[in-house]
Amino acid sequence: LTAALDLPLRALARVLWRGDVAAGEVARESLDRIEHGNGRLNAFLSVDRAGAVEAADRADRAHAAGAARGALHGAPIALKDLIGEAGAPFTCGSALRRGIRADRDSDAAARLRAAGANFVGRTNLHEFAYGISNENPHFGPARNPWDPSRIPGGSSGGSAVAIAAGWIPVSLGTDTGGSIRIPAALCGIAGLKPTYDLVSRAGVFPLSPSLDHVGPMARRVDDLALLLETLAGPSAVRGYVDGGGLHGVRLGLPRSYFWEHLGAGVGEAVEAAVRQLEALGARVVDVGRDFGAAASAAATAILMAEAAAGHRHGVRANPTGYGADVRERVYVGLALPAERYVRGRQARRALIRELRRTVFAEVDALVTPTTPEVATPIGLETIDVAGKPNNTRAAMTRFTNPFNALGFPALSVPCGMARELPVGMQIVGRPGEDGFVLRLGAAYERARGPFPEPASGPSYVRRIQPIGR
Amino acid sequence: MTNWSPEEAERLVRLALARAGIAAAEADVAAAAAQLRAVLARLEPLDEVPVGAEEPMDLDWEALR
Repeated sequence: LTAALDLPLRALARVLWRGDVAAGEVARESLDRIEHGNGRLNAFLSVDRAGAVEAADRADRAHAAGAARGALHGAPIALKDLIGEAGAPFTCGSALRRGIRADRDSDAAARLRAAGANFVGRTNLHEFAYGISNENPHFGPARNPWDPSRIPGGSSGGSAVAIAAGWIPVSLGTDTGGSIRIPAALCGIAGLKPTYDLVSRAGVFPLSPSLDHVGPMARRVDDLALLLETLAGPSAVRGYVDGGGLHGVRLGLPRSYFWEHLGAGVGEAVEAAVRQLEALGARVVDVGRDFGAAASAAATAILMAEAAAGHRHGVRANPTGYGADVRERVYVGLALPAERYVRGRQARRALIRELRRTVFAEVDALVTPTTPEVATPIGLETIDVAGKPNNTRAAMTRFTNPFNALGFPALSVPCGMARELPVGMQIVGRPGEDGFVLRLGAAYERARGPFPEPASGPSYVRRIQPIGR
Repeated sequence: MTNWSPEEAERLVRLALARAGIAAAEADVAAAAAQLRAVLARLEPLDEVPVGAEEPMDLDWEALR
């Protein structure tokens, strides 16, 4: 019975539908795991035990009456505390919003609720999603389950931690510069930033509307596909199949920029994964066009200006109510010349046109490391890049934020370990080809085999918490 | 665009904060000015993108082929 929570999402849904397992049992198991581990990893800002148990028991009664609700009937899930969920806390990781609850579901929450998902709590995040460390000054840092002295990545760090630790099978995050893919990579799970605008942002607290994306996070790529289909409909996963070879698929490696200045072992892990994709039948070529720095610059200009516009009034009313790092970024954004913002928006469109006509005429997808480095120690403000100290946030977003500017679908899938910490591989496709990107990830995942769990992951939890009570 | 002196960057930050009605601590102004210079340097590659007559509009996948 305990293992039900650790099943792939489709399998969990099947056993719940068949009635092999009660939704109430699965919910209680999830809640017990959270209760046991959250003091150490701080992945949840709030847990609604009574509400989740009541919803699960209601689902079981509906099931007994022949009225199960949908594809996710009874599956426990938690949303990043920036994605509105009716009646639930809606802090966005800010002390200024303590006590605020969402008065309605976001579109994403409504889709999941309609499919029968059971919301168990709200996950930790970097304050207002404006950072990648998840070192939240108001609620404390979320901690990486592989090494709690290290960051889980962010800003959707709590979601990644909870999934990697085996407390929930899936979650939703948001990604403005890498906030789904970075924590997925650093915690050893999968995460998808869909094509821009594919998943509704209505009811999600904005950071930079031109770059914000809502997307799924899970232990397996197939779980992401099921969630994306739930969020955006069957056409969103057109081209997805779980399994099969990759004959005829052309993969490009943009060697300049995206494969430079990597931490020890990171490049080797991703190269090994590329060889596995090749063994599945894909043809791998180097991509000469160097667009990374320009696309990253466009993302930075747009993010800083739009985030400053969004937080100007909040910072003016209560500057010390913001954490120092977010406040500083708002100040910088307010001082950024407007010409840089306009140029960033022009450049993103020019790059999209060019890359669709050139690079994506030659290859079907790009492959890069998700991050240049594995999870860094909490509190580390700079990391060494090519022998020079570099702002950790800027360094860790350099491979992800170009695709926020470009809006292309980008998946992170765990592909190995470096220094006993997970490494993520990023797969990027053409806009609208999210299903194809997921197909590549799923094919790789099957070839790779099961990914290791952190010491405190599901196997550990099963050993210490036999169920059946 | 990127060759601003620390003094120029600090002046710009002060001006922007004053216009926004924000009373910032001195240490925050200095930190933001230093960060502004670093950000502007990271934005330099924008000037290498030939934008032509591209309008700074939202993304429209049909139009951006």
